[in-house]
Amino acid sequence: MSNARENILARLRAARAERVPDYIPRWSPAHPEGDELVALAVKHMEATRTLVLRVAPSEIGATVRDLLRQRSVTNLLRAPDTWVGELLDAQWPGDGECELLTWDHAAPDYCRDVLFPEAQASITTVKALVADEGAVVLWPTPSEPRTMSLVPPLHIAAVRVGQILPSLAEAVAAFDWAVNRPNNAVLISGPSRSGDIENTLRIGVHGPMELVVLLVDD
Amino acid sequence: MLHFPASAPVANYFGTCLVDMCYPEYGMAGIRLLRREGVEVLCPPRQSCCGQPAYNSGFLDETRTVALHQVKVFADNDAPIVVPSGSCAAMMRYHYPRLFEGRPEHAEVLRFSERVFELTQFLNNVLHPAYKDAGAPIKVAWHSSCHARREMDCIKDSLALLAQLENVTVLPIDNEHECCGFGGTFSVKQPEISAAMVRDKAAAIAKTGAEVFLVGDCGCLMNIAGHLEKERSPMRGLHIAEFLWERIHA
Amino acid sequence: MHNADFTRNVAKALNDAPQRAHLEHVITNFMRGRRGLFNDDEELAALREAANAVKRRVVGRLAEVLERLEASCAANGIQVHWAETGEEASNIVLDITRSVGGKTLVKSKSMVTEEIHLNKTLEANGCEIRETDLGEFIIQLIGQTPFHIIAPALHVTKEQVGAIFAEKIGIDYTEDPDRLQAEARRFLRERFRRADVGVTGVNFAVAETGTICVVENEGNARMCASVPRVHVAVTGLEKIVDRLADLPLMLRMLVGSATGQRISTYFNMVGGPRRPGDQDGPEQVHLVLLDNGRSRMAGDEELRQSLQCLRCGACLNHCPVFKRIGGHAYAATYPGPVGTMVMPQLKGLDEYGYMALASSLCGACGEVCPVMVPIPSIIRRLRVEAHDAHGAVLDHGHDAARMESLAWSLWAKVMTSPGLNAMARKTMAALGGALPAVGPLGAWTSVRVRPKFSSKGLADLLREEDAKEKGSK
Repeated sequence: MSNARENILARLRAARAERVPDYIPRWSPAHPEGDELVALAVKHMEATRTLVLRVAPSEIGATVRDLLRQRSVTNLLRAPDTWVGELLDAQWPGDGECELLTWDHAAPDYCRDVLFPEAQASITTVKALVADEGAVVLWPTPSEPRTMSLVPPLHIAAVRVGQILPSLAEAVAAFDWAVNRPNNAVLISGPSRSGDIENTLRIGVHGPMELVVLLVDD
Repeated sequence: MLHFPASAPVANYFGTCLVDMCYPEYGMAGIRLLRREGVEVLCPPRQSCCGQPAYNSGFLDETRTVALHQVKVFADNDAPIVVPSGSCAAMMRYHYPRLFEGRPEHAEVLRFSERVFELTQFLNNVLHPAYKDAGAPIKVAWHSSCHARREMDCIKDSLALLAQLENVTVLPIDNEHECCGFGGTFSVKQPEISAAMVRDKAAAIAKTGAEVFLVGDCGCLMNIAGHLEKERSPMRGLHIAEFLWERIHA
Repeated sequence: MHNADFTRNVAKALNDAPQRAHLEHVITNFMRGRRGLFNDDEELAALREAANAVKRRVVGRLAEVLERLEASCAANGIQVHWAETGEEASNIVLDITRSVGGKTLVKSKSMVTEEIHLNKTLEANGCEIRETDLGEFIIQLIGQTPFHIIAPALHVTKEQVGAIFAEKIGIDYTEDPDRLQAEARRFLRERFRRADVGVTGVNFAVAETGTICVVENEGNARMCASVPRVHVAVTGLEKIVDRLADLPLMLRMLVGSATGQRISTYFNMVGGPRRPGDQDGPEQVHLVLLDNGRSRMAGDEELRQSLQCLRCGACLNHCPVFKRIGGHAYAATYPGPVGTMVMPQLKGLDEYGYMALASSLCGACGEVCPVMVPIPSIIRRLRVEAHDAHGAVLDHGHDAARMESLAWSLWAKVMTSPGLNAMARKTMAALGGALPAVGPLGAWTSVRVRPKFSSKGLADLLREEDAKEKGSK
């Protein structure tokens, strides 16, 4: 079995094509700017049943509170050291109606022990929102880990308007992604969905039942 | 992209084996349509089959023997070769060169292949006929053969010629893009699947309410019309060449 | 399997009217979705050309691309394993599981793990492996194989789902799809939380950056790759792109061709195990590279193109044969045109030669393939291989149809001799109605009238017409 690598590579070396084509430098999706870019991003995200709300920074606390109240959600996981975490903490009323959770880095297994059984909602920042695809791009970090945007039934993605890029292709270039390799990145275009029972689309299988994009004015 | 000659005082005609065996009158209709535009039509009697049945069955040596026979039969002039079948035309135009790749005959075969056109494609792009419909109003259904659509890309030409006939209404059929189930030897090697396909195709055609259905390929015609006749359906099928000729001489 | 068994499967599938109606409904929706997204023919042609170039560059130089991928993965802390056969690949997953003292695995939808029968190996060795894609979960409970490569439980009704859930996961019977989905979510969440190992397939592995990319809509693949302490990704060695910059195009082509979505709900890009300070993510990430016949395919210029396939399933949705018989009749891991193309190459013509006959060569599959694999040409090539003694495909030249070889050489003689040709027609015209309807004629006349041979050929009619012309002048 240890020879598998050598055997396979030997066969493939012998199989090399005489000629391979050059890349075709083709595929530049639409490249709108300004309001058009925002409108395209919103259109594509809404098409995948994402709720998009445009808010001023000063409205974040109230908007999120309303969202949670309408859904009878009583806790929200956020990272206090992100821009949106700081705004939320500053604007959050101390009435105890909805608890702000913090990922406990000292806990032996916060993901399995708390996130899975308890967290009802999360709010994360994003790396970008790519308009052509209609998806938020997340590069998880120690303060906003991978499962934070996956396990809670409601995920709110906070996007600053200036973070909207025309396409994934431009994001790959803009972040020098091939060099700055995150150990995880994920594009999310909407709530978790499945068509596996009688091929009718249903929202909310394994991941969040709802995705809300808060589009925050810069 | 096909390169069409600017004009064609002379054209060769490859009638196809199926026309010769079962539908010679449709082959004649094609010849008459060409002659009507002032073309001198050469129809060498030694021609036979494009070779597709053996080709699609995986018998390449036998295919090459028969293909080369056609290449030789049409080697005495450089005039275009017109074929009243999208499928046979595609075989001769696009598959012959592949069959002879790396062989001494390749250049000769390539010269042959570049001369091959489907009948309605040749009429519409080279001869530009003007048809005056002499028939009574009629509704027809049009069936596109797979290779006419996907390889020869001549469906638009067939439809353009039909569009000249002002009393003819072409009705769309459901799943028009779908194969009728002929597929040459497929129809006898997978008879159950082929039967399911032709049943659906015939039903889609019958559903249009057309009086007649038209095709550009006699393989599809034999399959679909053969099924309709077996089912005692009043719907009959015609090759487009025959239909065009009848309409302008009604 | 032999063609006779296939014929039996076909007959059964053709007689299943409800399944056929449902299948038609579903694939029509898939087709409409694809067309809705790729609605500009010129644009689509350019996209396919570009995607084709990306994949041809890879499959034409797989050795160097794989070595680069291996090095990039190693730099990211991803452990790369090589497997020549399905059995080897399954054993690698088993060994990894044992090495961490694990017994429970969760798996997301992956055709390659179907190809290697991973579940069977793991279960035979005392492990519990749970399918987590909702469709796969359902068919695992029922004990079937996927019906369609992107819609595995397409053929299962909600009543059947309700019954199997009641029986196997202990819920009260319901046929309400929303409740069934909620029950599956509840049941599987606990499995994600407790599993030792998560297994996923791979849609794209990026050689440049050592990134494992997985496309999905449900979130279960992210769970498998994020929650358990070990993530094992299994891939055919062809599912690679050179550069990260290739992904946007390839992602659009894959997802758009499959379902008509602009992008899947999730596109997960795994670039390595958790780093110091990370709060979740696997401690180990493994990538298993599977050959299982692929390096043989790479050795032939024409067959190599089979390795460009993205497994989007568009060829299934557009195939008139698949539409009639569905996925199970083929009795193969990969059904439809893609299966017809790859199964005989992966497993040999003795076992899967019958698939090569299950195509009318109408060309619909090749027309929609996002990477322009000439599927009909490759199927035709397999028919050649069936009797070619010097072939490139496993079990070539073993076709038992010697009679057919004889028939075609006789045909070639007739078709190159005008005298014989005309004689054949006249004979058929004279005898046509009297021939017994057996063999091919029997097959033909089961649903069609006999071909009517003409006593006169085209040359005869032409001569008569010209004589008439002359006479009238």
